[in-house]
Amino acid sequence: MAASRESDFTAFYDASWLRTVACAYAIVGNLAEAEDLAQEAYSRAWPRWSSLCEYDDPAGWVRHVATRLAVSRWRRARIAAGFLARSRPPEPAAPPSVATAVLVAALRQLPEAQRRAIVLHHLGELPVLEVARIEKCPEGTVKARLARGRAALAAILAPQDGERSHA
Amino acid sequence: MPDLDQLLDAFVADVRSETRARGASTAIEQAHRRRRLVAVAGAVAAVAVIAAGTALATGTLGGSEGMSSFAGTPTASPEPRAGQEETSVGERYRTLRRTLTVPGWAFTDAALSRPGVLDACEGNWVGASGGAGHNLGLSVSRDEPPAAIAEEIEGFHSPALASDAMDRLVENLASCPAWGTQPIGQTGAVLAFYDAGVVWIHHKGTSVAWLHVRTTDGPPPLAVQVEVADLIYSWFR
Repeated sequence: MAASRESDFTAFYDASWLRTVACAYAIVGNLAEAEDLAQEAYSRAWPRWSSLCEYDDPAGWVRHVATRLAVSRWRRARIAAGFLARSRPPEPAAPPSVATAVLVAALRQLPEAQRRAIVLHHLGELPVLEVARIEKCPEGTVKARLARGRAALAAILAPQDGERSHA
Repeated sequence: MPDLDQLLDAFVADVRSETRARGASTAIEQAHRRRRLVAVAGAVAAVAVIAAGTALATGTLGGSEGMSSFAGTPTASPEPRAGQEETSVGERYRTLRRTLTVPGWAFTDAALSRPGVLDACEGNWVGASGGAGHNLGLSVSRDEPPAAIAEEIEGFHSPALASDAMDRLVENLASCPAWGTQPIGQTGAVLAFYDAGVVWIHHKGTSVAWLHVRTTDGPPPLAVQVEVADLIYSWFR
């Protein structure tokens, strides 16, 4: 029974890890930090697994927790960076692709609510209705945030697109 | 105009190629480690309570010297038996329940663990301040009477980091629409409240403790807030 529970959780973890990390990464802009947050979210999921596994989308719960953790981390990025610098040397990592760097930088310029909506819906693959439930707001508000967020992203990204075309 | 969907797809592909999952077993171990530390520290807290009880009985506990004895010398007492630990923990909670039982304000015995609303709003206040990343306190669920009270203590590397962490937790909760926060008199503690409960948050030395009580009556009278804050403070090791 316990082994089956653990293997279910492992399968769930393996299947959902990528999207969870992507959501956190889109907010904090640092992959190692995003992986820490994702792992923290899964460690919170395990004690609740017997009820979470009954959810229609348990991965949505984990992504939501990771996203919330990421938002809090992002709000205090300077403090967190100071702590990380003191506690361990930075790990050498391959730089992200230009597209990823550009997208992450653009996302960080969005208002928080729009960024969360974009991340949860487009990267977390949660339906608008579910995002509305998480954000405790009407579906229409989420749609508006998505529309405004996409428009803002387009505006932020457009000059760089133009620069590339001139290069 | 850039193709946002294409950018998002590229982003996910980038993450896929770069990320390395730590593994479900690591997450499970992390959760278990947290639970084990809760149990160990709960027993240690019970030892401290017994030490204080012994000191009171022998008249050696008083003033700041007494507090120091309470905090630092539990090992001077005889080793408690398991039954004694349970009794002491039970006594703590009975005291707390008595303190919380006042006219015009009620707390419920609904089953609780960590309130979900806290998960959503607390943020990473532990890790961001160099906390041990696990609970060092006592967590009481419905399985361990009394049912309506839960307490956790988080350990940090220095008093300054613990103080920062408490500020961060309060700030996180205050920025969450579901929560309100207010200082509790001159105690240094903060009361956070939401529609289904209240949480005392207190800091001492390298620890931050929070104690959650379910109620739909909002914050209790100030005298109760202060008394509970003092109780929590006295329970710190």
